[in-house]
Formats: sequence, structure tokens, C-alpha cells
Amino acid sequence: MEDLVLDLKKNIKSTLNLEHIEAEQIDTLAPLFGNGLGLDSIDALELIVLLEKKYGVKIKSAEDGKHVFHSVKSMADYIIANKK
Amino acid sequence: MKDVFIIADNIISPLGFTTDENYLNIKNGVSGIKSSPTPTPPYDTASVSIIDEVLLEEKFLLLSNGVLYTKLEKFLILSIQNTLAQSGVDVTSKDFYIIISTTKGNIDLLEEDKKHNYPDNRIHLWSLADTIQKYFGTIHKPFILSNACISGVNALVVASRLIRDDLYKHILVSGVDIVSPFVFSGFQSFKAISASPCLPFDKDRAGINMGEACGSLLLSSINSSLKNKVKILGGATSNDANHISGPSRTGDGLLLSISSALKESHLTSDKIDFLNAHGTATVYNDEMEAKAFKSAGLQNTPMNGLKGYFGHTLGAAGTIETIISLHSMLKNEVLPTLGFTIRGTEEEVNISNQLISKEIKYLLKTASGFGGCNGAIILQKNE
Amino acid sequence: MSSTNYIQSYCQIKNGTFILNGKSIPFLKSDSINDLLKSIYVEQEIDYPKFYKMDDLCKLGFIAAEFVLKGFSTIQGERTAIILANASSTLKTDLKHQNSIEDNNNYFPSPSTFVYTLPNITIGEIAIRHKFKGENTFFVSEQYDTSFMCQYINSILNNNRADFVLTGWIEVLQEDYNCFISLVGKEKTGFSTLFNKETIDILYK
Repeated sequence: MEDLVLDLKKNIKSTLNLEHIEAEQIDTLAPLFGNGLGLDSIDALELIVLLEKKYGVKIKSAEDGKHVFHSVKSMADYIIANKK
Repeated sequence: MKDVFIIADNIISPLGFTTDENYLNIKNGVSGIKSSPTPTPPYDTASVSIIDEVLLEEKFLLLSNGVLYTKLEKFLILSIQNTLAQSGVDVTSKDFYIIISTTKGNIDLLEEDKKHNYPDNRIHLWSLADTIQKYFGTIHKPFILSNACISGVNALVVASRLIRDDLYKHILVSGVDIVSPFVFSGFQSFKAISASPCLPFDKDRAGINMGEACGSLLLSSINSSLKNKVKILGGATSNDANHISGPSRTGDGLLLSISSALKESHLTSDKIDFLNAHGTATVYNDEMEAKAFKSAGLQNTPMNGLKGYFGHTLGAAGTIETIISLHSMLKNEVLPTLGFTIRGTEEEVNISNQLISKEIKYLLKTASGFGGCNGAIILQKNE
Repeated sequence: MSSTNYIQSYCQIKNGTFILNGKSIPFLKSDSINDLLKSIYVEQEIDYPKFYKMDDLCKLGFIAAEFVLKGFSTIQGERTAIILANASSTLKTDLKHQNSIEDNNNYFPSPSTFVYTLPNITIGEIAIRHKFKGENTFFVSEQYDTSFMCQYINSILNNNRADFVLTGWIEVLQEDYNCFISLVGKEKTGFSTLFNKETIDILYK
């Protein structure tokens, strides 16, 4: 789980071009959207691509993604629960 | 200040190769949108509006000069040729100009199996200007405009201003785009594609269908034949300055385009008899438009959207939808919005889902697109 | 049409040179346009994290606009237009998007790449940064068509469709770049040089 969380943070940073912060600085439990990370609707769609491409798990729409993309922790939980 | 007349027009789409064929099909409720024309990705689960290649070849054969042209270039040549044939304008005159509006031009030439058939520079949008100039033998090189989904309306705004300000006499505006895996996959990544035919402004709307088409309008300050009954009164573009892909939540950007276009036309919104919306059938776009129309005082104005017949044809959309709308105005009828049953926008707007007979003197056409851009244009029936 | 409009300020960034209002500005050389623009961003102490998400074309337009618009923070957004042009549209990003869909077994189109495959996104990014809501249009031509562009921009200003126009040429192809952007207005202020084809041809070279 811890490895997955750190791996996710690194992938989020590089995929979303978050050059203003370090991967380790992303709070595992804090909300990803609506806080200091400054993520928007394109970032949400990009996270869907990230989960499919790097972790092989699918999300149908940005709407379904809302609870999955709450935090790094919720993303990690979703990956573990849905990975084949 | 000169008057700006629309003296000829043409639409090339799956619904026909002339404006009349397209209009008749729409009036009969025929749509160009078909499900899964190819079983291979990315179109395997999609509904798209694509022109039949065999029919295209057949039509183009008559105009062929032996040179190899891309699908998009064939659309342009066919459409420009048909438009010119209706007018007395000399294409080799120093007063004749062309503006081409397109979002992606020959983008299919990036595909592995197509790129080796053409010179490398054919992928560039500017190469379209050379191709069209050479084919028609015009003195001036066509101008190219690429401003996302408002391109067609934007080109009409630019052309009508250049004529109104007496800088140019005749400008042919031609808007064109093709359906390509490139654009399809992009909208797919935005989760903006509907698998079934689109439902503009409807409560069950679930996204767009890609479409391909070409629409041409010949604008002129000279009303030589007196049969030309339509004028462009004014138009404008604006920017939401809010987000590069998400439609504005307030509709303020589109409202600014509409109010600037009204101002340039010396009209107030209550004079508008009919409104042709952009109506992509995505949840957020249609909501944004409804808000803007309400704020502009247009909530009771009969309106329609034509994406249910053509799909979203990007750089062609503004031109083909303006052409259908101006012929609606000449016939005093508002065409139904195919796909619309029950209003799904929060704001109340007056969307037609049946053919309405109505005296139309002024019509408003709007468009909005990625990059936060909006455009509006106002046409008048010349009595 | 004779022009009575004036260049308020201009900036040119092209392979190896950086000129602001006629003065050469020293800047770090780099083989990569992306590294170069990022180093200018850092050096200018700009705080706008979305900059890092932009493609090279938008980064170039964003940086040029930052310089051109210094000292013009009070101009009215609804009355400011952005009219740009280039030759290669967004071909550099187009190739990146095409790569992501070539292989059916590795088919991952990215929304944050695709959105930059429209040249007017550069206008959108500048519009968002500076709250410019006026006229906006992107033209494409093989060479900078200074005759047509000056004609159209003068017609916008002379007919009161805007008070200011941010305009110019912004081209990126692979690692080559050439950006010439000016702010044009009705008053004889700032760089205060008449805006017409002749002036632009000399400054743009």
C-alpha cells in the first residue's frame, strides 16, 4: 500500500505537470481537488487515463471518478479493489 | 459602410452535395448520423456523420484535373465550385478573395497509411491556401482561419467586416473539417462523445457525434442580381477568459458576443425572430448557451440546433448551420431540433422540436468552442 | 486604410534573441524551447502553476504577453482583443497526440495533450491570465501576412470594436520558435510607434 501511494504521487506529479511541488508533499488523505494543488476538469480526465494506462483500472466518466479521485488514498483503495 | 449580401451558398455533407438537397433532407427529418460505419477502433462504438467515399469520388470525377487531392480538399473544391457556379463573380478577378475556416485541415495525413501519398507540407493548414489557389487560379492566396468550433462563424464575422468597411468586394467563406481518428479520440478522451445520435438541449443529452462537411457562402457588397435577399448585419467574437476547455458556468462570454453583434447590427434582442444555437449536446455546453440566451432576453425566441442532422462538424459547423438557417429565414420556417424532446437545461429556452411557420426577418447564429471562444452573427432578410 | 493606431509595446523572442521595445534583453541560451521558457518563467518570478501544463506554443505566447503587457494592467478586458497568427498551427502537439493513438494496443489519447491541438488555445491561455474577453481570432499563413493582419487589426480599432489589440506572430515547429507580439491601441503612448505594415515589417524582420 505505501509503495502504491508513493508511486501514485509520483505519477500524479508527472502526469499533471505539478512542477511547483514535490511528489512527497502531496498529502495522502487531503482532497486532491478544490485545494492548493489547483487541479481542474482536464486534470480529472487525465487521472482517468493514468489509472487505465499505468494501473489497468477503468473509470467510465468524470462523474464516477469523483469519489475515486477524492484523495491519493481513495485512488489507491480503488486500484487495489479493482485490479485484475 | 457597405451592405454585405450573401449571394450564393453550398453545403457538402452526408445529406447531399447542394444546399437544396441538404435542406430537403433536414425538412424530412433525415440525419447524416449513422451508427458504427466501421467495425474498427476508434469508431466501433460510435455514431458519426460521414460522407460516402464512393459517392464523393463519383461527384469529384467531373471536377478532377488529374492531380491527387485529399478528402478534405475534394470537399473544398466541390463546395467552392458549386457556390461560384451560382454567382456571376469572376474567380480570377483582383476583387475576389477566399477565407477557409478549418480546425484541423488535412489532419488524416498524419496517419501512417496516408502520409506517404502526399508531399510533407500538405499536412500544414497553409498548404490548403496553395492547393485551392492553384485549382481555381485565383489572384490572391486564400486566408486561413483556425479558431476551434467557432471558426465558421468567426470567418463570416471577419469577411463581413472587411466588406462592410469597404476594404474588399467579394469574399467566399468556406468552412471544412473531416471526421478523423485524431479528433474523435481527443473528444473521446474528454468523455464528450455520445455512442447514440446526439440530443441537443434534451434532458438525456450525453455528448456529441463527430461529423464532416463543407459549407461555402459568397459574400459581396454588390447586389447585382437583386435576387439576393440576405444581408449580414453584424457579428462579433469574444472570450470567456475562464477555462481552456470547460464552458463558462455563467454564459457571460457568449452573452458578450451576442450583445456586441446586436450593437453592430443596431438591433435589440426583441427584434430577433429566430435563433440557431451551437447546441453540441454536451451537458455543460447546452446549459451555458441557455444561460446566455436567457441573459440576452432571448428565452422566448424560437430556436433550434442542427447537430442532430450533421453531427459536430467543427470548422464547417458555423458555415453549414448559417446556410440552413438563412434558407429557413427565406422560407419563413423554423426547422425542428432533431434529438430534442424534453428540455434538459436549467434555464428555460424556446427550443423547436417541430416545423414552425413564422415570419422571420432577423436571425441570430451563435457558436462556442475550446479556448473559451464565442461568436455571434446576425442576418437580415432584405425586403 | 491609413493607420492612426500605435504600438504601445512589443516583444520578439526567436531562436537566440529576445527584444523588448527595441532593446535586446540578455537571456539564457538553451537547446530546448521548453527549458528556455521555463527558465524565463522562474527568472521573472511569475506565480502561475498552470504555466507548466501548457504546450510550448502556449508557453511562448504566455511569456511574450507577460513582457508586452507589463505596465498595462489597467486596460479593460472586455475591450481588449487578441488576434494571432502562425504557420504550423499546433503541429508539434498534433504529432504527440497522434503518437498516443497509433497503436490500438497502446491507445491512450490524453485530454491535456488534445486540448493543445487547437492554435487558439494560446489565445485562451493569455485571455485567462489577463482577463481579456474581447475579439479573438487565430489566422494561419505560410509567412507572417503583415499586410492582411495590419489591415484587419486597424479595422477593428478604427470601428471601435476594441480599444486594444494584442497581436502578432507565434510559431513553434520542433525546437524552432519565433514569436513577435505587440499591444496596439488608439493612444500615442508607451513605445508609441505608428502601427502599420511598414513598421511591423521593419520590427519583425
